Amino acid sequence: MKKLQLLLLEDSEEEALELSSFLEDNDYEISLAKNDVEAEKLIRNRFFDVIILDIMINGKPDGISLAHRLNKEGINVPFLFLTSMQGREIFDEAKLTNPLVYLLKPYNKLELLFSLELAIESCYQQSNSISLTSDNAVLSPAFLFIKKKRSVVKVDVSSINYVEVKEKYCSLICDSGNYLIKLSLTKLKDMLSNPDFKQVHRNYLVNVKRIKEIYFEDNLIVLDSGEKILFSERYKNAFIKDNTIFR
Amino acid sequence: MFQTGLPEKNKTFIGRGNSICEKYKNKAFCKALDFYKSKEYDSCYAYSAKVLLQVKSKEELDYVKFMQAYSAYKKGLYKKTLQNLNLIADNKDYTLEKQILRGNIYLKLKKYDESIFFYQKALDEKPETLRKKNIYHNLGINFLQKKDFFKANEYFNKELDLIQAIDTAALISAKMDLANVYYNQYLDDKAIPLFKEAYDLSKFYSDIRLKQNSARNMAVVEKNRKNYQKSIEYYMEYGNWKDSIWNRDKIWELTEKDKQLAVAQKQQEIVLQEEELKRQALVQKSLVVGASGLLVFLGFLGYFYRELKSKNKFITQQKEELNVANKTKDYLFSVVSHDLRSPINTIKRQHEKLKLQLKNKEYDAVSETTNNAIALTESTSHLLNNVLHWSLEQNNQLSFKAEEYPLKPLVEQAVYNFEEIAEAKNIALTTNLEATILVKADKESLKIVLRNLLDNALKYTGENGKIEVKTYKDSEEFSTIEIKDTGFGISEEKLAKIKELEDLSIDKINRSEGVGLGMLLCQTLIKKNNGKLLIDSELNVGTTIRILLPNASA
Repeated sequence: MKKLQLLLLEDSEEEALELSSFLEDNDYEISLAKNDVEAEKLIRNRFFDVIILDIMINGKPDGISLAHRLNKEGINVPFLFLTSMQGREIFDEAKLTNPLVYLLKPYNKLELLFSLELAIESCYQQSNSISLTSDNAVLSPAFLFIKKKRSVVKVDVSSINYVEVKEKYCSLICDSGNYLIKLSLTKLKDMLSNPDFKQVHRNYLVNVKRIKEIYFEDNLIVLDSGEKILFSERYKNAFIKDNTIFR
Repeated sequence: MFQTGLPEKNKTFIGRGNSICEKYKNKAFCKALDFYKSKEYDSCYAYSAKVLLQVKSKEELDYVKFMQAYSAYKKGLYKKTLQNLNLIADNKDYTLEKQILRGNIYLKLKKYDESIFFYQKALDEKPETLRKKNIYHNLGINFLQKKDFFKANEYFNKELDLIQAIDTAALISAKMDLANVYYNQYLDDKAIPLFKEAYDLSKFYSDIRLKQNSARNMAVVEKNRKNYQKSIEYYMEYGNWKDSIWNRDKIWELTEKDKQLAVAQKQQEIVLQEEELKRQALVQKSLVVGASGLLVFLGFLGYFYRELKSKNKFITQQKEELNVANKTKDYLFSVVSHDLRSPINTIKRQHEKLKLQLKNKEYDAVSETTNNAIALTESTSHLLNNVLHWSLEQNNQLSFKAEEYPLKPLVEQAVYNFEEIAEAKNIALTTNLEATILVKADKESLKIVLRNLLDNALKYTGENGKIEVKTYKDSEEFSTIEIKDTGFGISEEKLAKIKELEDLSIDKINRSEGVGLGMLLCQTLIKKNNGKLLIDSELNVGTTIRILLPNASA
């Protein structure tokens, strides 16, 4: 389990400290930037899960222009505005950058945490999952975002043992527990696009790194965790073709 | 004086023509004959040429040739006449006419010997009296021209013998001619009485030319007789006759002139009419242009009128909007003066109290005063927020975007803000929230509503009271947020007023009746979220407020 990396653009030191200490208490890792140049530098050098932008930086709406630059350069990091600007003009301008959330100061602590959840959900188009119940998780190509108390943490996708179809959506079975992902199996496969995950059945996707034994005759796969998974004829051939070991 | 009349010959000649026409029934021949009869010699000549190509019988041929010859003679084409006459076979029917015609022609051509030769041949054919007389006359003239006065005298005398007394004109001219003959021979004794006779006869005759000639002859005669007085008289008479002729000519000329004038006038009129037409066309054109101009003008007028009308409409609409805005402003002012002044004053008093307490070192009391001040500041800030939101909402500046949200975290967040205050007032603020509810709402406006309702609940619940916030699914359509307190409750009157707010506009609210901005804002925003606000209250038992929100479609 890893902590989420957040970037905070905030020109007021007092507010920045207060905010970062609050977020750190809630299991987030915070990088602070005092102006947009600093923030841009950090964004180029490091990976962030979410960016929190104040709009007015030293009296100028640099938060919005930074958001525009992020969009223009195709940097796919969800960002949200946290600002005391409530005027329609600024709001409309900020809206043009498609922020995931527009939060007003003074912020409600719960709301800030909730907004981070919303940001992650909408970034990967899986709305109302972790924000609704902690049984859900949000899947990204590299990570699985899950709820831990009031905050969000991420685990590597390699910790997923297998995926099982549950009605419209999918259930991920990990060492740490089971999570519901609000994606269909096809969409989930697209999202992962990871060669370690092979479809072995209409309803199952298996992490090949977690396979302990395969019983071809019995159409059965046994995982390290001891779970048994059905292996359907239909997917066997493709499976063998892709995994030379079994030839 | 030269006579051509062929009346007798003509009658027989035409009679012969008629019989030929009837006999052969040649249409062209008959037509040519008709032209001949009506003395249209041009047409007759042309038609005869045509007929010549058609007819075969000798009878017809000769007749037509003669007709053509005569027409040619009348037109003055003497050579053609002579040719035609030569072509006619030696038919005794035509010999006389041929010779007379030839004689006439040669006389006209002043070939007197040939003329005399043919006339004498004609006389051999024994013509009837009238023609004989004419022939004698023409022969006389021929000899007169040749100065063979003796012969001329002889023929004129022969003619005179033949002339009947009634034919005055012929008599006069014959006598004059004869007189001339005598006169030229200086036989004055014979000539003068004849001149006199001719003159006297002409007096009673209408032909002016004869009168003139006879008068002139008399004048010449008298002059030669040295009888000048008389000569002058005759000259004068001659002059008169000449004048009358001249007058006649003049009149003719004048009428000709008149005609020309009339024609010119007509032409002038035509030109004028053309001018008129042109002018009319111009007028018409200008009328059309004017009319279209007027139409365009009217169009413009209509357009501007409509523009003005729509502008006016726009202005009235704006006026109404301004009216509402003005009412809103007034309302906000009254809120500020009513609801803001007193808490600020209280805060001021609290601070003065604090100062005093600090001075007196009453530290226990300080804590309480500070708490009061904080609570007051809190509620004032809340009021300010409401004013802000209200004004934004009224100006349509509050962004509104209904989206699907999990209800639980939203309510949790709202409640979270009040936990401290509740603790301070020792009120048990509990929640019972269903986890799986998804509603469709605008997050910001829902937050404002929840904050207001929770604030009210805390405000009107005494110490040790209870507030419970619940969410549950009502139906497929709606979910409910329920805020239940054990407060003072709301009187029925006030409750009725709050319910009235649902369909009340700002300008009808009476501030003095004490319904707060908070409730108004709640009603407006819930309505905007397609939800419902239900209030149940019992005095001294508590109030239950339910917000119904539409479920998310999924």
